[in-house]
Amino acid sequence: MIELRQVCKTFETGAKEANVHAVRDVSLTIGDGEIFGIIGFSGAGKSTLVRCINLLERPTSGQVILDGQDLTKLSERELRGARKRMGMIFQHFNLMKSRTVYENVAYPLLGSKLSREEKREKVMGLLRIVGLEEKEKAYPSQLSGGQKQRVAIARALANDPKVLLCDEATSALDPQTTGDILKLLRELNESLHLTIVLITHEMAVVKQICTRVAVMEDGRVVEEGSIYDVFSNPQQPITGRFIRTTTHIDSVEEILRTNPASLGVKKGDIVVRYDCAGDSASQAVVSRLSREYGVDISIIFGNVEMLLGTPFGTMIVVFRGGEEKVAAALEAFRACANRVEVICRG
Amino acid sequence: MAELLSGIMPNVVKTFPEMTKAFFQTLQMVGISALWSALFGVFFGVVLVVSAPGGIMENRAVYSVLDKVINVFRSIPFVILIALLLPLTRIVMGTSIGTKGAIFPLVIGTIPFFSRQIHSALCEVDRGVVEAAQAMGSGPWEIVLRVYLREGLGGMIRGATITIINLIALSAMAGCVGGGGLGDYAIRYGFQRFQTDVTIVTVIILLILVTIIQSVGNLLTRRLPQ
Repeated sequence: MIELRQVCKTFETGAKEANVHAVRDVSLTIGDGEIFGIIGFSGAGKSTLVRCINLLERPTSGQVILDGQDLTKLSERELRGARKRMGMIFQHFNLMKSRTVYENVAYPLLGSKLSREEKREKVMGLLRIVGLEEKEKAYPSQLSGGQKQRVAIARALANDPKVLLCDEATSALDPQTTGDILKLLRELNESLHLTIVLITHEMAVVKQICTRVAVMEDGRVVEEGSIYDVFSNPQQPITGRFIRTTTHIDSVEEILRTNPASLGVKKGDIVVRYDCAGDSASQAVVSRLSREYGVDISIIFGNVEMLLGTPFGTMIVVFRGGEEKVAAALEAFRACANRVEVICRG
Repeated sequence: MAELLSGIMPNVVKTFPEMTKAFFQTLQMVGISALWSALFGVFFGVVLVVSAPGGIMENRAVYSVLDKVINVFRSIPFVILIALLLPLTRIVMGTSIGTKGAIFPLVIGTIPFFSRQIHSALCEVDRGVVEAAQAMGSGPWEIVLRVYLREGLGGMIRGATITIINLIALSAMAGCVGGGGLGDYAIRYGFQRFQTDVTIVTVIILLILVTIIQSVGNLLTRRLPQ
Protein backbone atom coordinates (compact mmCIF):
# COMPACT_ATOMS: atom_id res chain seq x y z
CA MET A 1 0.00 0.00 0.00
CA ILE A 2 1.22 3.48 -0.86
CA GLU A 3 0.27 6.45 1.20
CA LEU A 4 1.15 10.04 0.41
CA ARG A 5 0.70 12.41 3.32
CA GLN A 6 0.62 16.13 2.63
CA VAL A 7 3.29 15.87 -0.02
CA CYS A 8 4.61 19.19 -1.31
CA LYS A 9 7.33 19.74 -3.88
CA THR A 10 8.67 23.18 -4.59
CA PHE A 11 11.38 23.86 -7.14
CA GLU A 12 13.61 26.71 -6.10
CA THR A 13 14.32 29.19 -8.83
CA GLY A 14 16.41 31.65 -6.85
CA ALA A 15 13.75 34.30 -6.48
CA LYS A 16 11.28 33.28 -3.82
CA GLU A 17 8.15 34.53 -5.57
CA ALA A 18 9.16 32.69 -8.74
CA ASN A 19 9.45 29.29 -7.01
CA VAL A 20 7.49 26.59 -8.76
CA HIS A 21 5.02 24.77 -6.53
CA ALA A 22 4.75 21.61 -8.58
CA VAL A 23 2.91 19.58 -5.95
CA ARG A 24 0.86 21.21 -3.19
CA ASP A 25 -0.28 19.31 -0.16
CA VAL A 26 -1.29 16.07 -1.83
CA SER A 27 -2.57 13.21 0.31
CA LEU A 28 -3.52 9.97 -1.39
CA THR A 29 -3.89 6.35 -0.43
CA ILE A 30 -3.37 3.72 -3.06
CA GLY A 31 -4.44 0.23 -2.06
CA ASP A 32 -2.81 -3.08 -2.96
CA GLY A 33 -3.80 -4.39 -6.35
CA GLU A 34 -5.35 -1.14 -7.51
CA ILE A 35 -4.78 0.48 -10.85
CA PHE A 36 -4.71 4.07 -9.78
CA GLY A 37 -4.79 6.80 -12.39
CA ILE A 38 -3.55 10.34 -11.94
CA ILE A 39 -4.77 12.60 -14.70
CA GLY A 40 -4.00 16.21 -15.41
CA PHE A 41 -2.96 18.57 -18.16
CA SER A 42 0.74 19.23 -18.77
CA GLY A 43 2.23 21.17 -15.91
CA ALA A 44 -0.36 20.00 -13.40
CA GLY A 45 2.39 18.35 -11.36
CA LYS A 46 1.40 14.75 -11.95
CA SER A 47 4.82 13.72 -13.23
CA THR A 48 6.49 15.30 -10.20
CA LEU A 49 3.99 13.57 -7.95
CA VAL A 50 4.69 10.10 -9.34
CA ARG A 51 8.43 10.75 -9.02
CA CYS A 52 7.86 11.63 -5.39
CA ILE A 53 6.57 8.11 -4.82
CA ASN A 54 9.99 6.54 -5.44
CA LEU A 55 11.78 9.70 -4.37
CA LEU A 56 13.34 10.43 -7.74
CA GLU A 57 12.09 13.81 -6.58
CA ARG A 58 12.46 14.25 -2.86
CA PRO A 59 9.33 15.95 -1.51
CA THR A 60 9.95 19.35 0.04
CA SER A 61 7.65 18.29 2.84
CA GLY A 62 5.28 15.45 3.61
CA GLN A 63 5.64 11.72 3.86
CA VAL A 64 5.67 8.87 1.37
CA ILE A 65 4.77 5.62 3.03
CA LEU A 66 5.24 2.27 1.33
CA ASP A 67 3.92 -0.68 3.33
CA GLY A 68 4.19 1.21 6.59
CA GLN A 69 7.72 2.48 5.92
CA ASP A 70 8.29 6.21 5.54
CA LEU A 71 10.59 6.44 2.52
CA THR A 72 11.56 10.04 3.22
CA LYS A 73 13.25 8.92 6.45
CA LEU A 74 15.43 6.23 4.85
CA SER A 75 19.16 6.45 4.23
CA GLU A 76 20.36 6.40 0.63
CA ARG A 77 21.20 2.72 0.90
CA GLU A 78 17.84 1.78 2.42
CA LEU A 79 16.09 3.89 -0.18
CA ARG A 80 17.79 1.93 -2.97
CA GLY A 81 16.42 -1.22 -1.41
CA ALA A 82 12.94 0.27 -1.26
CA ARG A 83 13.15 1.36 -4.89
CA LYS A 84 13.73 -2.25 -5.88
CA ARG A 85 10.23 -2.95 -4.60
CA MET A 86 8.84 -0.46 -7.11
CA GLY A 87 9.24 -0.75 -10.85
CA MET A 88 8.95 2.27 -13.08
CA ILE A 89 8.32 2.82 -16.77
CA PHE A 90 8.61 6.06 -18.69
CA GLN A 91 7.19 7.94 -21.63
CA HIS A 92 10.41 7.61 -23.60
CA PHE A 93 11.13 4.07 -22.39
CA ASN A 94 14.66 4.93 -21.20
CA LEU A 95 16.27 1.70 -22.36
CA MET A 96 20.03 1.47 -22.60
CA LYS A 97 21.05 1.72 -26.23
CA SER A 98 24.31 -0.12 -25.69
CA ARG A 99 22.62 -3.20 -24.24
CA THR A 100 20.54 -5.85 -25.94
CA VAL A 101 16.96 -6.53 -24.93
CA TYR A 102 18.20 -9.38 -22.78
CA GLU A 103 20.86 -7.22 -21.10
CA ASN A 104 18.40 -4.43 -20.47
CA VAL A 105 16.02 -6.75 -18.68
CA ALA A 106 18.93 -8.35 -16.81
CA TYR A 107 20.24 -4.94 -15.68
CA PRO A 108 18.36 -4.84 -12.35
CA LEU A 109 19.72 -8.32 -11.58
CA LEU A 110 23.39 -7.25 -11.91
CA GLY A 111 24.96 -7.80 -8.54
CA SER A 112 22.11 -9.95 -7.28
CA LYS A 113 22.80 -13.31 -5.69
CA LEU A 114 21.15 -15.30 -8.47
CA SER A 115 23.33 -17.68 -10.46
CA ARG A 116 23.83 -17.23 -14.19
CA GLU A 117 21.25 -19.89 -14.98
CA GLU A 118 18.72 -18.45 -12.56
CA LYS A 119 19.15 -15.01 -14.09
CA ARG A 120 18.70 -16.39 -17.57
CA GLU A 121 15.57 -18.22 -16.52
CA LYS A 122 14.21 -15.09 -14.86
CA VAL A 123 14.93 -12.80 -17.82
CA MET A 124 13.53 -15.22 -20.39
CA GLY A 125 10.45 -15.68 -18.23
CA LEU A 126 9.89 -11.92 -18.17
CA LEU A 127 10.41 -11.64 -21.92
CA ARG A 128 7.86 -14.40 -22.35
CA ILE A 129 5.32 -12.46 -20.27
CA VAL A 130 5.70 -9.39 -22.46
CA GLY A 131 5.81 -11.48 -25.63
CA LEU A 132 9.32 -10.62 -26.80
CA GLU A 133 11.25 -13.87 -26.30
CA GLU A 134 12.52 -13.94 -29.85
CA LYS A 135 13.93 -10.40 -29.55
CA GLU A 136 16.39 -11.17 -26.77
CA LYS A 137 19.44 -10.38 -28.91
CA ALA A 138 18.00 -7.26 -30.55
CA TYR A 139 19.08 -3.76 -29.59
CA PRO A 140 16.48 -1.15 -28.59
CA SER A 141 17.08 0.78 -31.82
CA GLN A 142 15.76 -2.22 -33.74
CA LEU A 143 12.43 -2.22 -31.88
CA SER A 144 9.18 -0.35 -32.36
CA GLY A 145 7.84 1.96 -29.65
CA GLY A 146 5.43 -0.63 -28.32
CA GLN A 147 8.16 -3.27 -28.19
CA LYS A 148 10.48 -0.88 -26.37
CA GLN A 149 7.82 -0.25 -23.75
CA ARG A 150 7.35 -4.00 -23.36
CA VAL A 151 11.07 -4.39 -22.73
CA ALA A 152 10.87 -1.55 -20.22
CA ILE A 153 7.99 -3.31 -18.48
CA ALA A 154 9.94 -6.57 -18.35
CA ARG A 155 12.92 -4.69 -16.91
CA ALA A 156 10.73 -2.96 -14.34
CA LEU A 157 9.45 -6.34 -13.20
CA ALA A 158 12.87 -7.97 -12.82
CA ASN A 159 13.08 -7.27 -9.09
CA ASP A 160 9.58 -8.68 -8.51
CA PRO A 161 8.18 -5.33 -7.44
CA LYS A 162 4.75 -5.00 -5.86
CA VAL A 163 4.19 -1.60 -7.42
CA LEU A 164 4.62 -0.37 -10.97
CA LEU A 165 4.81 3.38 -11.54
CA CYS A 166 3.94 4.48 -15.07
CA ASP A 167 5.03 7.98 -16.01
CA GLU A 168 3.06 8.81 -19.19
CA ALA A 169 3.93 5.31 -20.33
CA THR A 170 1.63 5.33 -23.34
CA SER A 171 1.90 8.98 -24.35
CA ALA A 172 4.47 8.32 -27.06
CA LEU A 173 2.54 5.41 -28.54
CA ASP A 174 -0.18 5.23 -31.18
CA PRO A 175 -3.72 4.36 -30.04
CA GLN A 176 -3.51 0.72 -31.15
CA THR A 177 -0.22 0.15 -29.33
CA THR A 178 -1.50 2.08 -26.32
CA GLY A 179 -4.38 -0.37 -26.14
CA ASP A 180 -2.01 -3.35 -26.29
CA ILE A 181 0.22 -1.96 -23.54
CA LEU A 182 -2.78 -1.18 -21.33
CA LYS A 183 -4.06 -4.70 -21.85
CA LEU A 184 -0.67 -6.05 -20.80
CA LEU A 185 -0.69 -3.84 -17.71
CA ARG A 186 -4.12 -5.09 -16.79
CA GLU A 187 -3.01 -8.71 -17.20
CA LEU A 188 0.00 -8.05 -14.98
CA ASN A 189 -2.25 -6.40 -12.42
CA GLU A 190 -4.38 -9.51 -12.31
CA SER A 191 -1.75 -12.24 -12.58
CA LEU A 192 0.90 -10.71 -10.30
CA HIS A 193 -1.46 -8.72 -8.09
CA LEU A 194 0.64 -5.74 -9.13
CA THR A 195 -0.38 -2.32 -7.87
CA ILE A 196 -0.16 0.14 -10.75
CA VAL A 197 0.07 3.91 -10.47
CA LEU A 198 -0.42 5.43 -13.85
CA ILE A 199 -0.19 9.06 -14.79
CA THR A 200 -1.52 10.35 -18.05
CA HIS A 201 -3.17 13.29 -19.73
CA GLU A 202 -5.50 11.02 -21.67
CA MET A 203 -8.89 10.25 -20.17
CA ALA A 204 -9.18 7.35 -22.62
CA VAL A 205 -6.29 5.62 -20.86
CA VAL A 206 -7.78 6.10 -17.41
CA LYS A 207 -11.14 4.89 -18.66
CA GLN A 208 -9.65 1.75 -20.09
CA ILE A 209 -7.90 0.30 -17.08
CA CYS A 210 -8.04 2.35 -13.91
CA THR A 211 -10.06 1.39 -10.88
CA ARG A 212 -9.61 4.73 -9.19
CA VAL A 213 -8.54 8.10 -10.43
CA ALA A 214 -7.26 11.38 -9.04
CA VAL A 215 -7.56 14.57 -11.05
CA MET A 216 -4.73 17.05 -10.66
CA GLU A 217 -4.78 20.75 -11.37
CA ASP A 218 -2.12 23.28 -10.46
CA GLY A 219 -0.28 20.89 -8.14
CA ARG A 220 -3.35 19.82 -6.19
CA VAL A 221 -5.57 16.79 -6.33
CA VAL A 222 -8.93 18.39 -6.96
CA GLU A 223 -11.00 15.28 -7.27
CA GLU A 224 -10.54 11.64 -6.42
CA GLY A 225 -12.75 8.60 -6.50
CA SER A 226 -13.62 5.37 -8.21
CA ILE A 227 -13.48 5.64 -11.95
CA TYR A 228 -17.19 5.04 -12.06
CA ASP A 229 -18.11 7.81 -9.63
CA VAL A 230 -15.82 10.32 -11.23
CA PHE A 231 -17.12 9.55 -14.69
CA SER A 232 -20.78 9.45 -13.84
CA ASN A 233 -20.78 12.38 -11.47
CA PRO A 234 -17.81 14.71 -11.96
CA GLN A 235 -17.56 17.39 -9.27
CA GLN A 236 -15.00 19.73 -10.76
CA PRO A 237 -15.15 21.60 -14.08
CA ILE A 238 -11.74 20.26 -15.05
CA THR A 239 -12.92 16.69 -14.56
CA GLY A 240 -15.86 17.39 -16.81
CA ARG A 241 -13.45 18.72 -19.43
CA PHE A 242 -11.39 15.54 -19.31
CA ILE A 243 -14.46 13.37 -19.65
CA ARG A 244 -15.64 15.38 -22.61
CA THR A 245 -12.35 14.75 -24.39
CA THR A 246 -13.22 11.08 -24.64
CA THR A 247 -16.61 11.64 -26.27
CA HIS A 248 -17.58 13.90 -29.15
CA ILE A 249 -20.33 15.56 -27.21
CA ASP A 250 -18.58 18.92 -27.35
CA SER A 251 -18.90 19.23 -31.09
CA VAL A 252 -22.57 18.28 -31.00
CA GLU A 253 -23.31 20.84 -28.31
CA GLU A 254 -21.48 23.43 -30.34
CA ILE A 255 -23.70 22.76 -33.34
CA LEU A 256 -26.79 22.92 -31.15
CA ARG A 257 -25.75 26.35 -29.96
CA THR A 258 -24.95 27.77 -33.35
CA ASN A 259 -27.16 25.98 -35.86
CA PRO A 260 -29.74 23.65 -34.25
CA ALA A 261 -31.77 23.45 -37.45
CA SER A 262 -29.00 21.49 -39.11
CA LEU A 263 -29.67 18.69 -36.63
CA GLY A 264 -33.41 18.81 -37.35
CA VAL A 265 -34.38 20.76 -34.22
CA LYS A 266 -37.64 22.65 -34.82
CA LYS A 267 -39.58 25.29 -32.91
CA GLY A 268 -41.14 23.88 -29.73
CA ASP A 269 -38.62 21.01 -29.47
CA ILE A 270 -36.71 20.42 -26.30
CA VAL A 271 -33.15 19.16 -26.56
CA VAL A 272 -32.02 17.13 -23.59
CA ARG A 273 -28.75 15.58 -22.60
CA TYR A 274 -28.95 12.65 -20.28
CA ASP A 275 -26.47 10.38 -18.57
CA CYS A 276 -27.44 6.95 -17.46
CA ALA A 277 -25.49 4.22 -15.81
CA GLY A 278 -25.72 0.56 -14.96
CA ASP A 279 -29.10 -1.04 -15.57
CA SER A 280 -30.81 2.05 -16.90
CA ALA A 281 -28.24 2.29 -19.66
CA SER A 282 -29.40 -1.00 -21.05
CA GLN A 283 -33.15 -0.34 -20.75
CA ALA A 284 -35.23 0.70 -23.70
CA VAL A 285 -36.12 4.00 -22.04
CA VAL A 286 -36.54 6.05 -25.16
CA SER A 287 -38.99 3.84 -26.97
CA ARG A 288 -40.99 3.16 -23.78
CA LEU A 289 -41.46 6.85 -22.96
CA SER A 290 -42.26 7.61 -26.55
CA ARG A 291 -45.07 5.03 -26.48
CA GLU A 292 -46.39 5.87 -23.04
CA TYR A 293 -46.52 9.65 -23.41
CA GLY A 294 -47.17 9.91 -27.11
CA VAL A 295 -44.15 12.07 -27.86
CA ASP A 296 -41.48 11.75 -30.50
CA ILE A 297 -38.03 11.25 -29.11
CA SER A 298 -35.20 11.28 -31.59
CA ILE A 299 -31.59 10.58 -30.70
CA ILE A 300 -29.02 12.91 -32.20
CA PHE A 301 -26.03 11.73 -30.19
CA GLY A 302 -25.22 8.63 -28.22
CA ASN A 303 -22.14 7.26 -26.51
CA VAL A 304 -21.64 4.29 -24.21
CA GLU A 305 -18.52 3.66 -22.14
CA MET A 306 -17.71 0.52 -20.22
CA LEU A 307 -16.33 1.52 -16.84
CA LEU A 308 -15.09 -1.39 -14.73
CA GLY A 309 -17.54 -3.55 -16.64
CA THR A 310 -20.54 -1.28 -16.04
CA PRO A 311 -22.07 0.53 -19.00
CA PHE A 312 -22.26 4.29 -18.76
CA GLY A 313 -24.17 6.11 -21.46
CA THR A 314 -24.57 9.70 -22.57
CA MET A 315 -27.20 10.77 -25.06
CA ILE A 316 -28.61 13.89 -26.59
CA VAL A 317 -32.25 13.50 -27.55
CA VAL A 318 -34.94 15.78 -28.96
CA PHE A 319 -38.45 15.75 -27.49
CA ARG A 320 -41.30 16.81 -29.73
CA GLY A 321 -45.11 16.67 -29.47
CA GLY A 322 -46.84 19.41 -27.50
CA GLU A 323 -45.77 21.24 -24.38
CA GLU A 324 -47.73 19.27 -21.80
CA LYS A 325 -46.96 15.84 -23.14
CA VAL A 326 -43.28 16.71 -23.42
CA ALA A 327 -43.21 18.07 -19.87
CA ALA A 328 -44.76 14.86 -18.55
CA ALA A 329 -42.39 12.70 -20.58
CA LEU A 330 -39.45 14.71 -19.36
CA GLU A 331 -40.56 14.20 -15.76
CA ALA A 332 -40.72 10.45 -16.27
CA PHE A 333 -37.41 10.59 -18.04
CA ARG A 334 -35.68 12.16 -15.06
CA ALA A 335 -36.70 9.19 -12.97
CA CYS A 336 -34.75 6.70 -15.07
CA ALA A 337 -31.58 8.66 -15.75
CA ASN A 338 -28.69 9.70 -13.53
CA ARG A 339 -28.75 13.20 -14.80
CA VAL A 340 -30.99 15.05 -17.21
CA GLU A 341 -30.11 18.44 -18.49
CA VAL A 342 -32.08 20.57 -20.92
CA ILE A 343 -29.53 21.92 -23.36
CA CYS A 344 -31.78 24.13 -25.44
CA ARG A 345 -35.31 24.73 -26.60
CA GLY A 346 -36.08 25.04 -30.26
CA MET B 1 66.31 1.24 -55.32
CA ALA B 2 68.61 2.87 -52.76
CA GLU B 3 69.95 5.11 -55.52
CA LEU B 4 66.50 6.06 -56.61
CA LEU B 5 65.51 7.06 -53.07
CA SER B 6 68.75 8.99 -52.62
CA GLY B 7 67.88 10.82 -55.82
CA ILE B 8 64.41 11.84 -54.68
CA MET B 9 65.05 12.54 -51.02
CA PRO B 10 68.78 12.63 -50.33
CA ASN B 11 68.51 14.16 -46.86
CA VAL B 12 65.94 11.69 -45.63
CA VAL B 13 68.14 8.79 -46.66
CA LYS B 14 71.17 10.41 -45.05
CA THR B 15 69.37 10.95 -41.73
CA PHE B 16 67.31 7.79 -41.84
CA PRO B 17 68.47 6.41 -38.47
CA GLU B 18 67.58 9.75 -36.86
CA MET B 19 64.19 9.74 -38.47
CA THR B 20 63.45 6.24 -37.19
CA LYS B 21 64.51 7.30 -33.74
CA ALA B 22 62.33 10.41 -33.94
CA PHE B 23 59.39 8.30 -35.06
CA PHE B 24 59.65 6.01 -32.06
CA GLN B 25 60.11 8.99 -29.77
CA THR B 26 56.86 10.42 -31.06
CA LEU B 27 55.11 7.11 -30.51
CA GLN B 28 56.56 6.92 -27.02
CA MET B 29 55.56 10.47 -26.06
CA VAL B 30 52.09 10.17 -27.51
CA GLY B 31 51.49 6.67 -26.18
CA ILE B 32 52.58 7.25 -22.59
CA SER B 33 50.96 10.68 -22.40
CA ALA B 34 47.74 9.29 -23.83
CA LEU B 35 47.57 6.57 -21.19
CA TRP B 36 48.07 8.97 -18.28
CA SER B 37 45.74 11.56 -19.77
CA ALA B 38 43.09 8.91 -20.32
CA LEU B 39 43.29 7.82 -16.71
CA PHE B 40 42.93 11.33 -15.28
CA GLY B 41 40.67 12.61 -18.06
CA VAL B 42 38.09 9.89 -17.49
CA PHE B 43 38.26 10.47 -13.76
CA PHE B 44 37.80 14.24 -13.99
CA GLY B 45 35.18 13.91 -16.75
CA VAL B 46 33.16 11.58 -14.53
CA VAL B 47 33.59 13.88 -11.52
CA LEU B 48 32.36 16.82 -13.62
CA VAL B 49 29.26 15.02 -14.83
CA VAL B 50 28.21 13.56 -11.48
CA SER B 51 28.91 16.73 -9.49
CA ALA B 52 27.24 19.10 -11.98
CA PRO B 53 23.97 20.74 -10.94
CA GLY B 54 21.32 18.05 -11.35
CA GLY B 55 23.99 15.32 -11.42
CA ILE B 56 23.72 12.10 -9.46
CA MET B 57 26.16 13.33 -6.80
CA GLU B 58 25.54 17.03 -7.13
CA ASN B 59 28.27 19.06 -5.43
CA ARG B 60 28.50 22.68 -6.41
CA ALA B 61 31.88 23.31 -4.77
CA VAL B 62 33.62 20.38 -6.47
CA TYR B 63 32.01 21.15 -9.79
CA SER B 64 32.77 24.84 -9.95
CA VAL B 65 36.37 24.45 -8.76
CA LEU B 66 37.13 21.66 -11.22
CA ASP B 67 35.33 23.45 -14.02
CA LYS B 68 37.39 26.61 -13.48
CA VAL B 69 40.72 24.83 -13.06
CA ILE B 70 40.14 23.03 -16.35
CA ASN B 71 39.35 26.31 -18.08
CA VAL B 72 42.48 27.94 -16.68
CA PHE B 73 44.72 25.12 -17.87
CA ARG B 74 43.08 25.03 -21.27
CA SER B 75 43.77 28.74 -21.70
CA ILE B 76 47.53 28.43 -21.20
CA PRO B 77 49.36 28.07 -24.52
CA PHE B 78 51.28 24.79 -24.53
CA VAL B 79 54.75 26.30 -25.09
CA ILE B 80 54.22 28.51 -22.05
CA LEU B 81 52.90 25.57 -20.04
CA ILE B 82 56.12 23.68 -20.79
CA ALA B 83 58.18 26.57 -19.45
CA LEU B 84 55.95 27.07 -16.40
CA LEU B 85 56.10 23.40 -15.53
CA LEU B 86 59.89 23.08 -15.82
CA PRO B 87 60.64 22.92 -12.07
CA LEU B 88 57.76 20.60 -11.41
CA THR B 89 58.76 18.40 -14.34
CA ARG B 90 62.20 18.06 -12.85
CA ILE B 91 60.74 16.91 -9.55
CA VAL B 92 58.22 14.48 -11.02
CA MET B 93 60.20 12.99 -13.89
CA GLY B 94 63.74 13.46 -12.55
CA THR B 95 64.63 15.50 -15.62
CA SER B 96 63.11 18.38 -17.52
CA ILE B 97 64.64 17.62 -20.88
CA GLY B 98 64.43 14.91 -23.50
CA THR B 99 61.48 12.70 -24.27
CA LYS B 100 61.02 11.95 -20.61
CA GLY B 101 60.92 15.64 -19.79
CA ALA B 102 58.34 16.23 -22.51
CA ILE B 103 55.86 13.64 -21.29
CA PHE B 104 54.93 15.45 -18.08
CA PRO B 105 53.87 18.75 -19.71
CA LEU B 106 52.11 16.76 -22.44
CA VAL B 107 50.05 14.94 -19.81
CA ILE B 108 49.27 18.14 -17.90
CA GLY B 109 48.39 19.91 -21.15
CA THR B 110 46.14 17.09 -22.33
CA ILE B 111 44.23 16.17 -19.16
CA PRO B 112 42.00 19.29 -19.20
CA PHE B 113 41.27 18.84 -22.89
CA PHE B 114 40.43 15.17 -22.54
CA SER B 115 38.41 15.78 -19.36
CA ARG B 116 36.21 18.11 -21.40
CA GLN B 117 35.91 15.54 -24.16
CA ILE B 118 34.81 12.91 -21.63
CA HIS B 119 32.50 15.38 -19.93
CA SER B 120 30.71 16.25 -23.13
CA ALA B 121 30.54 12.57 -24.14
CA LEU B 122 28.92 11.71 -20.80
CA CYS B 123 26.54 14.66 -21.03
CA GLU B 124 25.21 12.99 -24.17
CA VAL B 125 24.03 10.02 -22.11
CA ASP B 126 20.26 10.20 -21.90
CA ARG B 127 19.26 11.68 -18.58
CA GLY B 128 16.19 9.46 -18.64
CA VAL B 129 18.31 6.31 -18.72
CA VAL B 130 20.21 7.52 -15.67
CA GLU B 131 16.90 8.18 -13.98
CA ALA B 132 15.66 4.72 -14.90
CA ALA B 133 18.78 3.22 -13.28
CA GLN B 134 18.13 5.28 -10.15
CA ALA B 135 14.54 4.10 -10.12
CA MET B 136 15.82 0.52 -10.27
CA GLY B 137 17.84 1.12 -7.12
CA SER B 138 21.31 1.54 -8.66
CA GLY B 139 23.79 3.46 -6.52
CA PRO B 140 25.90 6.34 -7.88
CA TRP B 141 28.97 4.23 -8.64
CA GLU B 142 26.91 1.53 -10.28
CA ILE B 143 25.39 4.22 -12.46
CA VAL B 144 28.83 5.57 -13.38
CA LEU B 145 30.19 2.17 -14.31
CA ARG B 146 27.12 0.51 -15.79
CA VAL B 147 25.34 3.43 -17.36
CA TYR B 148 27.56 6.47 -17.98
CA LEU B 149 30.76 4.75 -19.03
CA ARG B 150 28.88 2.17 -21.07
CA GLU B 151 26.25 4.33 -22.74
CA GLY B 152 28.78 7.10 -23.33
CA LEU B 153 31.46 4.83 -24.77
CA GLY B 154 30.96 5.93 -28.38
CA GLY B 155 31.40 9.58 -27.49
CA MET B 156 34.37 8.76 -25.29
CA ILE B 157 36.12 6.93 -28.13
CA ARG B 158 35.49 9.87 -30.45
CA GLY B 159 36.92 12.19 -27.80
CA ALA B 160 39.94 9.94 -27.35
CA THR B 161 40.59 9.93 -31.10
CA ILE B 162 40.59 13.72 -31.23
CA THR B 163 42.75 13.89 -28.12
CA ILE B 164 45.41 11.51 -29.44
CA ILE B 165 45.62 13.40 -32.72
CA ASN B 166 45.89 16.59 -30.72
CA LEU B 167 48.69 14.99 -28.70
CA ILE B 168 50.66 14.32 -31.87
CA ALA B 169 50.47 18.00 -32.70
CA LEU B 170 51.50 18.98 -29.18
CA SER B 171 54.36 16.49 -29.18
CA ALA B 172 55.90 18.36 -32.09
CA MET B 173 56.16 21.39 -29.84
CA ALA B 174 57.94 19.32 -27.24
CA GLY B 175 60.95 19.78 -29.48
CA CYS B 176 61.56 23.00 -27.51
CA VAL B 177 62.69 21.03 -24.51
CA GLY B 178 64.73 18.71 -26.64
CA GLY B 179 61.94 16.22 -26.47
CA GLY B 180 62.81 14.76 -29.81
CA GLY B 181 60.19 13.21 -32.01
CA LEU B 182 59.15 13.85 -35.59
CA GLY B 183 58.28 17.51 -35.09
CA ASP B 184 61.70 18.22 -33.66
CA TYR B 185 63.33 16.28 -36.49
CA ALA B 186 61.38 18.20 -39.11
CA ILE B 187 62.33 21.55 -37.58
CA ARG B 188 66.02 20.78 -37.21
CA TYR B 189 66.58 19.26 -40.63
CA GLY B 190 63.70 20.29 -42.83
CA PHE B 191 63.19 23.86 -41.65
CA GLN B 192 66.49 25.09 -40.25
CA ARG B 193 68.68 23.39 -42.89
CA PHE B 194 66.28 23.90 -45.78
CA GLN B 195 66.03 20.17 -46.43
CA THR B 196 62.53 20.32 -47.87
CA ASP B 197 62.39 16.57 -48.55
CA VAL B 198 62.69 15.94 -44.79
CA THR B 199 59.73 18.21 -44.10
CA ILE B 200 57.62 16.56 -46.77
CA VAL B 201 58.39 13.03 -45.63
CA THR B 202 57.71 13.94 -42.00
CA VAL B 203 54.35 15.41 -42.92
CA ILE B 204 53.49 12.26 -44.89
CA ILE B 205 54.42 10.05 -41.94
CA LEU B 206 52.31 12.15 -39.57
CA LEU B 207 49.46 12.11 -42.06
CA ILE B 208 49.56 8.32 -42.14
CA LEU B 209 49.69 8.19 -38.35
CA VAL B 210 46.69 10.51 -37.99
CA THR B 211 44.76 8.60 -40.61
CA ILE B 212 45.38 5.30 -38.85
CA ILE B 213 44.27 6.69 -35.48
CA GLN B 214 41.16 8.26 -36.95
CA SER B 215 40.27 5.06 -38.78
CA VAL B 216 40.73 2.92 -35.69
CA GLY B 217 38.53 5.37 -33.76
CA ASN B 218 35.85 5.28 -36.44
CA LEU B 219 36.01 1.50 -36.63
CA LEU B 220 35.57 1.15 -32.87
CA THR B 221 32.60 3.52 -32.70
CA ARG B 222 30.97 1.83 -35.65
CA ARG B 223 31.22 -1.54 -33.97
CA LEU B 224 29.25 -0.27 -30.99
CA PRO B 225 25.50 -0.86 -31.07
CA GLN B 226 23.64 2.29 -31.95
